[in-house]
Amino acid sequence: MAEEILRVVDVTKRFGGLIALDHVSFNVYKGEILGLIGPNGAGKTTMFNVITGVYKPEEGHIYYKGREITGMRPHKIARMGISRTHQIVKPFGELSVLENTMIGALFGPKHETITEEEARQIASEILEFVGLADKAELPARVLNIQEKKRLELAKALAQEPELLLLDEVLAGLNPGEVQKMIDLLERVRREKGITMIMIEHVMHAVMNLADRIVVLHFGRKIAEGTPEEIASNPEVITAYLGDPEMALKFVKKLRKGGGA
Amino acid sequence: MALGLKEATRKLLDPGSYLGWALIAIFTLVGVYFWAGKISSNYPSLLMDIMMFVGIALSLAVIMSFAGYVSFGHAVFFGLGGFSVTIVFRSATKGGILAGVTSNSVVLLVLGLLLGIALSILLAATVGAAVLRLRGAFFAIATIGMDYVILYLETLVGEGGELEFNPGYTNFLEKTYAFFLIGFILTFLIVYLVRVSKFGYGLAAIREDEDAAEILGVDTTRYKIYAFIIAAALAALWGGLFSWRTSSVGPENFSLKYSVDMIVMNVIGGLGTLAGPIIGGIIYYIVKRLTLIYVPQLAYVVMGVIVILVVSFFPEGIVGIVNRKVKKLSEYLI
Amino acid sequence: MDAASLVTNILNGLITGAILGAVASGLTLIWGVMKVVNLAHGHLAVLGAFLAVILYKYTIGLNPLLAPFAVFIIGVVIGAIFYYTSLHIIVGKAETMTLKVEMNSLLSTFGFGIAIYGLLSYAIGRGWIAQYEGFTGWALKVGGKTYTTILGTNIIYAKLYAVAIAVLLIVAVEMFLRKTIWGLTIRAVAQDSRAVALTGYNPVTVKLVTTLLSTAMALMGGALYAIFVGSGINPDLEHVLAPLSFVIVVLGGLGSVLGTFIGGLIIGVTNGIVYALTGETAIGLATSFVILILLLLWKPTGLFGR
Repeated sequence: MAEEILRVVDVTKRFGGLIALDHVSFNVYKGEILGLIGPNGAGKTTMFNVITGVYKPEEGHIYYKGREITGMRPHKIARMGISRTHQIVKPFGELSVLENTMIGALFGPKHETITEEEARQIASEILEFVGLADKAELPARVLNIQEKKRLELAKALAQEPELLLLDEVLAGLNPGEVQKMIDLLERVRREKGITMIMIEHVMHAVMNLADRIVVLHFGRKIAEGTPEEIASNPEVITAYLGDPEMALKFVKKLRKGGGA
Repeated sequence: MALGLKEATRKLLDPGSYLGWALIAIFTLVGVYFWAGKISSNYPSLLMDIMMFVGIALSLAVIMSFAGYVSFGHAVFFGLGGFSVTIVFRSATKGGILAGVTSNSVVLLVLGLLLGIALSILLAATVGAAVLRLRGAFFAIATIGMDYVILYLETLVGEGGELEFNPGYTNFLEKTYAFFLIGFILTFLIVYLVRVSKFGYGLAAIREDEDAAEILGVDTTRYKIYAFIIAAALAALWGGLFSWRTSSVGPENFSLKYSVDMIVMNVIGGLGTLAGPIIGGIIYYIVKRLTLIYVPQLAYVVMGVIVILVVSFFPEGIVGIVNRKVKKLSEYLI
Repeated sequence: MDAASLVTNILNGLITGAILGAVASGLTLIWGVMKVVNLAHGHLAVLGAFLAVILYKYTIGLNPLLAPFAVFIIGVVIGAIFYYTSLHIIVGKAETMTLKVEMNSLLSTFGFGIAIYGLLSYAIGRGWIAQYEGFTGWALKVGGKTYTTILGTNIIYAKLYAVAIAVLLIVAVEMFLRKTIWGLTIRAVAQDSRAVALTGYNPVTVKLVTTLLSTAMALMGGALYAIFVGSGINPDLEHVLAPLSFVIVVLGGLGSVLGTFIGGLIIGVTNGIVYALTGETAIGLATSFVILILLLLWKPTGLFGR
């Protein structure tokens, strides 16, 4: 594959006695979408928090474009070109949708040179792109959940990142909205060429979107490979058995993938 | 294009800047008449009160209203400003280190103000680095603690009483009005620039969701400390001017009551806008004045009731209510 | 400083600390359970001190020994007024304590506090009650003596009585919290505000009961303080009682009544030792605030908190 953009090496994160991440390593290559999956409590969001600098890992290293970013403050990492969305959306409620997005642009990698007018321009374009242009002047708190998810994505995209971390952007959406969001993510990849890591529980979305998948279970990486490899990996299926619904989805996916 | 138009109306709906410019125009006009000897000192005195109320409300707004950190210790900086001016004057007149250097009261005032601002910046930077890690009530409590510690140190120096000085009384009111006007213009300009700059966007993001702001690239630690420092410096400026006007400083200047005055003005006016502290400052001054005229002994009771009523029933403040009404009206008209 | 005077100061510190712990114990409840940092707490305690004096001197001539209990009962009524004027709309109806609700409650309780301060000042200004007097002229005598001697230190009986009632208050509240259904509910909510849904109680009622108890404890603490100092009761005492209460609650851990009492003892002894070393009470106060700020930064949940 192409050049590597992110390298996670032997990362361990503990909370008191609990090991949230246990010597996890993986690479992300430029232009790909990496799916990060695993049952609840597997350490996926913790992994995002370690990459973005919210948590400092006890052991291990993270390299972004060859430069070590382990333990750097979150805003520094954001300014280097890593953006993320949150599973529980974090809009700036009293500010307008446009202002929310402008803040993304103002404090992104171009933070030193960008003017307010340019930020406004970028933000407007991004809002057009994610389909929120007609809501630009509304305070963010009045948006519905689907719109808030889009705003979350808009804020991250306005930073013009090279690596985008998506934490369950599909959660809480109805099937129609899920499809629209998947289309949007396809367009992000196609038109903007941004590398993405996505945490997702909606299996068919990950299977369709991701080039490769990393599976975490109780903080350990138990598998890595193409969606096809993952779907037929017995250890992955065992891991998901604790979560019957998830296991069922997997089995269905297997049957479909198996070309029955 | 449509967006540009909407954007323009939105800025019109935030009357903060126009209100500020209008006030500056009125204050200057009255000043011109006053300096020319055409009106008595009654109106200028009243306007100086208003300048100070709005000035200190604006100073606290930078950290409280823009960044969302409610400091109960802001009076510390107000007191420090007054204390510095007093000390400078006393050291110039009572055989102190400045005796014989200069007796020009304007020079001494500027020196005193600069000293107060410097001390406040120093205190805000050191204390701020520590207490701004705390959020919400913990931050408030820590600032109350800071207030008491500094107040205690002041009572050591001032031996618990008022420290007085002689500012030189030739053309005192005329000079004072000029200083207040300059102070007001400076304060408004600085706060206005903070509000409309990228820095202002960063502070707004911190107020709304600090973690999200940090993740989005806002250097939250540095921004908070900068905001705290600016707020402190402006409070010191007004504390210094106030002490010049009263020719004294005492423990009262450091009292939590001033902190609460500033907080209440911001709450009444409405948080997050430039108009809030300006309108809040004026209205609070009027209410306070009326209270002192009609029910002076119940001033605290009135203030307490106002705080409770505002927080309970108008938590978005006057600007919030007006904005909502104006929006409704414009929706109705268009 | 010799060993004897150190013992005296530590002993006095313990007694002062017990009273301060009682004053602060009401604050730990409302803060720990409702997440309301009650800025009216100090004013409520001062009100309790004045009420004790008013009951004795200006109205029914109630024996000061009974004052704390009477003031506790009045405190429940004042707690209801406090809740419905300052907390119900802001905190009672709020489902979760967001930062905004927290700030608003800080302001509304402050408003209630200065209203009390204003009313007391008004009553004093009109000459209805006198400040700085307290229980002047009254003393608790046992066998014709007003004091006893412990470890070479003379201790006034009235102070000992105040300490005994303070301990009784703490024990009673602890029993209430541990042994009754209401107490368990309150403790459960202190641990996790969502827990109230599981207990089947109306969260608004839990908040009301917590406020009533906390307010009554604040007033009773004030009455104990009045007996303890004997004289010198004035509205500005708030400037001492409130910040000290904050220090003590943070030290003892939010929501822990027993922890708060122990926190009070620690602060009392600290002040006693500082006083013994410097001869200045004010330095003891300043020390407490420095301890507060450092503690907030180091461990906001307090020494005995989770």
